[in-house]
Amino acid sequence: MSYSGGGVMTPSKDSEGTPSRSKDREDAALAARGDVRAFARLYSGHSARIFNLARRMTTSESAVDITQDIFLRAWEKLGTFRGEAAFGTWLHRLAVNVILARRAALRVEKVRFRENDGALDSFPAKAGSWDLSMDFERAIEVLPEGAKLVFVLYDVEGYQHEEIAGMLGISSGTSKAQLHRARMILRRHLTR
Amino acid sequence: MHDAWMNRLSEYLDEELDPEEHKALEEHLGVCPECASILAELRQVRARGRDLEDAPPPASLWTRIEAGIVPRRTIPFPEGAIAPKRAAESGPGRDRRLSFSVPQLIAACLAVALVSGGAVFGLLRSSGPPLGPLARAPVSGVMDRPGAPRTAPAGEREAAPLVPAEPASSRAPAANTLSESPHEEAIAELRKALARERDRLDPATIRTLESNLAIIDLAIDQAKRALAADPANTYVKEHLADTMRRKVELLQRATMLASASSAEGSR
Ligand SMILES: [Zn+2]
Repeated sequence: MSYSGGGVMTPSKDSEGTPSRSKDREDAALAARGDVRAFARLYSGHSARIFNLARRMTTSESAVDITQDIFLRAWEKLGTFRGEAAFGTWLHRLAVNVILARRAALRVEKVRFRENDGALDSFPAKAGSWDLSMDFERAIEVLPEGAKLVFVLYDVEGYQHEEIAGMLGISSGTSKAQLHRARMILRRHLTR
Repeated sequence: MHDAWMNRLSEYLDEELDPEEHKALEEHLGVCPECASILAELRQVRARGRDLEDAPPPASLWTRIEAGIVPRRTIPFPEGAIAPKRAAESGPGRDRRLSFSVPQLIAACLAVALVSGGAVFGLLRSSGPPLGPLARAPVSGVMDRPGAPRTAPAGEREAAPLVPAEPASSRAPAANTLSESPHEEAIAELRKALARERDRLDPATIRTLESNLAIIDLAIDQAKRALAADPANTYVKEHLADTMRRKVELLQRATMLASASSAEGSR
């Protein structure tokens, strides 16, 4: 798929960190009472991060559908958002749950936590037209599933091993091992 | 070429090792250039992961989400659309807020239907009645009905109606002079027909359709409540009948669209 340029509802990364928590909380309260415009503002502030989370944890192809599911679920569950955490944190956690449930439901791929270091054997050599970051993104995409999930959740999204272990139903030790495995593979793609 | 420490380098980097291990690995790094070099690379990998650029989602995504939103019991309300003359019409002993807000509420519902259901209404509008200027009023603000739950999913609304179920016209003709049952029958028939054909509609259209139906159902529900509280209110009666008619029309047009799609073979 291609990423069409951002419209009004697709903020740049710069603006993503700026929506204030109190403004978010206000909008969340309004949206919980049925205000779709307030919900649109929340979408505007958080969609890029959620979309990319979905894209990295699944595939680019399914990321749009999953992001839609996540926001519709968020709309349904807004009444349970109490505002102790930041809205972004609440939404992000909900997103991870939806993504993991979707993965399980579709059985897209079983999460494999066994050794499978040959996974990048078929990874194409440097493609000259790709810039470095795209190359690195592509390398993440083809990581073994277990390593990919942990890498995205820990290094990209900033969760702790204990949290990841809880989400994925693995031990903290396994989470640490998978993270290391992912990084050891990815270091080969740093400069390509 | 793996030494035992190599597998702990990420934990070292993330400061996940206990102090003794951390110190020991630090010492090892001083004498093992290979581990030191890998550690430097892992540090770069971690930094790259943290700094990944987010690609913007497709611009159409919000439209899809909005189309799938099921409206809440408490819905956005057109600002300034409350007609003062309605207030004058509300008689003594009547729930004042409710009695004059329902007509606007219905209009607001249809406004939301128009705004969020652009796809379906755009496709289906040709044979439908045009919506008045009120229906295009900007949607903002929130209206709350006193005593109503703050939010309630559509399912709950169906499961636990706060007003008596519609009377079967033959048994309780006096309670409701509306020709509601024919509408209900038509709706049930169309629902069935649509269920058979809905695979021919694309998912976005189905979501938009369902969203619009939910909005209309909400309007019907509100009108019925108002009518239960004030059976003589002809204004609400008319709106109820009109809203039911809109529902029938929407279903009819959706069914026609599905049939047309199946005739074309694709959509
Ligand atoms: Zn070493």
